[in-house]
Amino acid sequence: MSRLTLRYTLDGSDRAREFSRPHAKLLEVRKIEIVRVSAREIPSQLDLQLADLARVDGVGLTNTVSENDTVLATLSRRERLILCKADRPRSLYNDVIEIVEGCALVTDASHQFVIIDLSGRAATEILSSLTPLSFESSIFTIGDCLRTVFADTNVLVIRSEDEANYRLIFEQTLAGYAWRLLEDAAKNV
Amino acid sequence: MLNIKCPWCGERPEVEFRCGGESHIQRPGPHTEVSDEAWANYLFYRDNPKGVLFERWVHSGGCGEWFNVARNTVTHEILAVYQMTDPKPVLEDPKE
Amino acid sequence: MSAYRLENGGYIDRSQQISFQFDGKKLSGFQGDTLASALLANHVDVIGRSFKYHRPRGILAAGLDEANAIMQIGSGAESSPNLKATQVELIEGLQARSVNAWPSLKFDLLAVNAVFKRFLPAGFYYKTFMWPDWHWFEPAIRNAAGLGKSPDQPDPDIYDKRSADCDILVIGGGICGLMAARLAAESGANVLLVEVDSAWGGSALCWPTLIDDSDAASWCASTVAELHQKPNVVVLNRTMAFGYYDHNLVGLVQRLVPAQSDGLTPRERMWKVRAKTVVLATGAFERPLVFPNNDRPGVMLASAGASYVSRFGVAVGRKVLIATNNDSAYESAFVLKEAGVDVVALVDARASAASEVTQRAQDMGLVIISNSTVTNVKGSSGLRSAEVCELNADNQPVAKSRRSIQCDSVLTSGGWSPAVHLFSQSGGKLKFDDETQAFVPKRSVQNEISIGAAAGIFELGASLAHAQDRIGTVLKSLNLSAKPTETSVSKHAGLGAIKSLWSVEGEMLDRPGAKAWVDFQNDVTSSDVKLALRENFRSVEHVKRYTTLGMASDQGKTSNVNGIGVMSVELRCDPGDVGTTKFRPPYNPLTIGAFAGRRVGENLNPLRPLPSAARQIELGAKLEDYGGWHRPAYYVERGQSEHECVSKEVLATRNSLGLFDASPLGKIEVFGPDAAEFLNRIYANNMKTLKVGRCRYGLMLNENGIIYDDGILARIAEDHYLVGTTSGHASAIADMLQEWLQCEWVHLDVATSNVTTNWAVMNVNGPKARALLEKFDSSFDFGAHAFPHMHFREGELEGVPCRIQRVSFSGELSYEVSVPWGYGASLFDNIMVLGEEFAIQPFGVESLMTMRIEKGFLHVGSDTDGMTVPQDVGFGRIVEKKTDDFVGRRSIMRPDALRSGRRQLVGLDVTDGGDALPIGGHVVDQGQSPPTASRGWVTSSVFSPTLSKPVALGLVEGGADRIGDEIEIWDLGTRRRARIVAPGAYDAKGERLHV
Repeated sequence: MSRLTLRYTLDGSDRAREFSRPHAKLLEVRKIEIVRVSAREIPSQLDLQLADLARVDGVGLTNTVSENDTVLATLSRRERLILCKADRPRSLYNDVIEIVEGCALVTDASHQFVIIDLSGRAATEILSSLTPLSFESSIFTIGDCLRTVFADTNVLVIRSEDEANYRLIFEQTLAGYAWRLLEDAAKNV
Repeated sequence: MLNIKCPWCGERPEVEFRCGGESHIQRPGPHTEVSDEAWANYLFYRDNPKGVLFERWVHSGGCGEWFNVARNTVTHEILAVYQMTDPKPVLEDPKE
Repeated sequence: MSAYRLENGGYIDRSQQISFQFDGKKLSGFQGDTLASALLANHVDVIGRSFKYHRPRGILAAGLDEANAIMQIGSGAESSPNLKATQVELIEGLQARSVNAWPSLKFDLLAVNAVFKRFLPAGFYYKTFMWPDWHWFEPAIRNAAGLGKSPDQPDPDIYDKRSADCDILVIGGGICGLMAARLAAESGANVLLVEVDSAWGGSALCWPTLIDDSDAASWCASTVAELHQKPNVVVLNRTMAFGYYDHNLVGLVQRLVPAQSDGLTPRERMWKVRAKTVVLATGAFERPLVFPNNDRPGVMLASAGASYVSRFGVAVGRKVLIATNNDSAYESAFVLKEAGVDVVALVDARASAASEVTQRAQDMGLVIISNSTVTNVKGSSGLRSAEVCELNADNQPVAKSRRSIQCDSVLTSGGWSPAVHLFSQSGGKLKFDDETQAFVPKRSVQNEISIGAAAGIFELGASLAHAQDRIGTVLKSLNLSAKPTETSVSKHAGLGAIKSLWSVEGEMLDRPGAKAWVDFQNDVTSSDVKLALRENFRSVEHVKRYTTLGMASDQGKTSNVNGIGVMSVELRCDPGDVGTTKFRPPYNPLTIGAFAGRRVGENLNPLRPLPSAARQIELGAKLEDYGGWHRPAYYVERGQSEHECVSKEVLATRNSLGLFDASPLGKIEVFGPDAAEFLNRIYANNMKTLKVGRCRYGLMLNENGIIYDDGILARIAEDHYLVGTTSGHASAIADMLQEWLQCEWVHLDVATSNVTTNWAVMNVNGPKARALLEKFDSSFDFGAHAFPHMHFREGELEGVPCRIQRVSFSGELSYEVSVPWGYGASLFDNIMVLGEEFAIQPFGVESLMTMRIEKGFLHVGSDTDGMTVPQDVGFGRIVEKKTDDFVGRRSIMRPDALRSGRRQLVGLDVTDGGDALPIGGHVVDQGQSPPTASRGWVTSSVFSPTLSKPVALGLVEGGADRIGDEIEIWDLGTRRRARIVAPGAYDAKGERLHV
């Protein structure tokens, strides 16, 4: 029985943080495993194997998202981020280590980020008010992910199936700050 | 605020980037053979053209990739974006 | 006294009365009024005093070009200075105050300045109040200057932001702008339409117009309503485009009404819009005529007089005289006449206006005085009469022909200046058009077009046709199209054949002392402009700054071009040759809050929390900002001073066991076949010889050879390293490593990953550290031989991944225990519980600093500065032994880096029995007082609880060769004595480390 217990950064309590208004909803998402793969240049063969792991059809150089909660995000030609629900029989980290076979750097980034789902009809407006991008325009469609500036920090934005749903991934020590800004914006748009 | 076309992410606003100054500057070496003048040149001297400047940018708020940009310092028009390892592109002389 | 509310007319809602206050006096107006129109309706003529001379002033204009009616609005935290009464929408309970007059507008003691006018010409600031020391006069000048008061409490309002893209951004909601937006919307383009005013229509609000046989107001309303319905259009009024930036980015500030103080609704929203094309339909500003005493209350712009009638149902006077050099003022005269206002005369500088215009004037019974102009007005708080003179063939007034005409209001029109601010900001080039006597757009640089008066087309029919044509071209370039409609508009007098009449001077009328104003707000007269030229400030930019013309809050909208005109006459050249000053954002003043947005208070510089944050607070930590992290300085004990608390923490740690949350330490993994080679180039140390499982303390230099960061490098495996950095530099160094790999050493096969906030680090510190850690269930062997000092181990602790470095900043047995961040809080708690047996003491940053100073360990940025190189801090031999190149190597080989006498890091032992040395105290030669050379300074200093004496470090010239020397330290008048010693007063041999 381990002495050490897990404590989530955004909210130390047992319940995931939530904020709800008729036009906007924020929800902290827990229990997601995140693995980063870094190399001078990710070999395409490795991409295929990672895509297979993440069950993504067709791998290109653009950011891709799969149907289930697993995401293979191409952050750059040097970096991949893989996210999945932490309910796998074997940890994602171990699976990736096996696939990579030492040809790239694999780091477990599960503790480095906080994930916040932003939804509701004002979600797009809210994102456009806290980043320098207009999410109204069609350059960012379902299945895309992109990384941009979010006030004083950065955000990785993943657009899942639903039109108005955004999965926002923040560096964890500034996630509280990001939550405050999102909540303020959601309180009145 | 410039609109810069990151070779990997597409057009993004300047606030997502950081400028690294003049590009195509090779670090002199070996260190035992570099004159004071050559080293001072490398450290301190930079072109300041009224016209096209070839400079480095990094998409620090996005993909983190470094790349080159040919920019007109007067009009801020971006004439070319190319990879860090590519040579300087040949451009037409910009008219006033 | 002369202005009054008309019985009918205006777009105000006379059924909604609004009460407000001006200078404490209760007044009332109507819904739809601005503060300016309401003041006029209440017969308030004098609304302020001018900046320099404190002359009484009245309202000049009807829009944001207003130069005189500067008001303080509201009170307390919501008080706003420097608002133009013409832009303030009247709301119930509004409190307005005039400025720059004391004790009152009527009786202003500071008006004594006016008496000394002769001694206060332009540039007087540079010539007077300088001797013997300008600092003496500054407070008095500051008190006498300035309009309005800043609120002294935090802004209670919310400000929002928005990023937006669109195909076409239409700036300006006048007839042309609305027409353009409508066409663009029809084509299916994404359109954003903005208008700074609350009402749509632009000049149609001033000169009533018929569009397709319905009045302009209804046409505008229905067009706007139509646009609101379209999903591809965003319509914003009360929204100002304040700046045109690179690549078609335009900044807007939207004012949201009604204003709420609910802490939720934003007061303003700043938009950053990237548009494929920008349509500038920004209109034009009327210029006043420049003549002696033209600043008196009652003298206004002609179109403003028409606006007050048409839009607000206010007559600016009972006997109005109009003076002009172009046809547009006739249109204003018609508006007044049709509202029943008595226009006593229309004074035209030319022989005649266009024939239809003249005919219409005659039909209305207007008295026209041709070839004449206004040369003076009388009445300083209530206009009484105007002086009119004939103009001779040289455009000079004939003094003999002067006559006085009774009137209580003078409206002037000296021409129109297209609002080319945004066009110019975009980089566009202007030319001076002789026919219209205006600066107009000549050549675009970015993707924009100008339409309407902004393009220099002053006749509505012509500008609509032009606008439709230009929009068609824009749509075509976007692969879109829309059918232009045939629109009929009623005919107005356009500009006609304008005759330039830049100024009438007192000298021309044998009245050399009479001043003619160019810039009303900054009190700049035409003679000030001429003085600047006489003093050889001949560039328009110099004239601007020397006289301050155009530098007030109206930003020269009614004065810049007149100033250029006066210059052109004096310099005997074309105004085009004088040119305009550079246009810079913002177009009109805006709030700082709009720029701040939501990043205020705790959201401005967010502090990052430690994993043990909750427990820190419970333990009484005094949390401070250390490089953006919220960290304990020390732990507060009631009744104890900071020094006592720190001493307690230090002694407990050195004697038994201390705990420090070291999680902010930078951690960057470096991996790849070339990792060793790469890191060897990054560090000043030889890192190739670092073995797996070992740690080495390294210095990172910048290319100037200056020490940039220090930290521990650990080798995890053959091709795998962990770079430790100071907490403040973690991100910068992660970026720097990639910069080298991507830009210079592109062939090195290396990958990096910044894992700083993935791993929490607990520093277990003190002789009992090993005993404590052995209480945990782990895969580690903590035995002294299995895990020596400066070693790295990976394994599991209580079932979670764990990395441990046995490194020490305190000088005691010390382990940095890393677990995934989510377990950090729990690890901290468990260590505290298990450590009870050893009387464990949490310690803060101040204690850590005390311990490292006792050990003589440097702190980058405290013991090093922008000049310190490795050989200055005892790293000389390490660098010498390394033969490979590294970042900064060549710089530390230059003569200045190698010379003797450089400041070197040494210890300082106090010899005068006093307390800790002052940090920053300068080392001086024996017996010397300032002014004298500084031989170095104290860089770190504490009263050591461990050694019960003061301990310090310093950078001293040639210090390494002066060990044992007695020195003096001078600080703010006090002299101290110390001896130079080797750094490291405590456990110099490191015996306590190797246990």
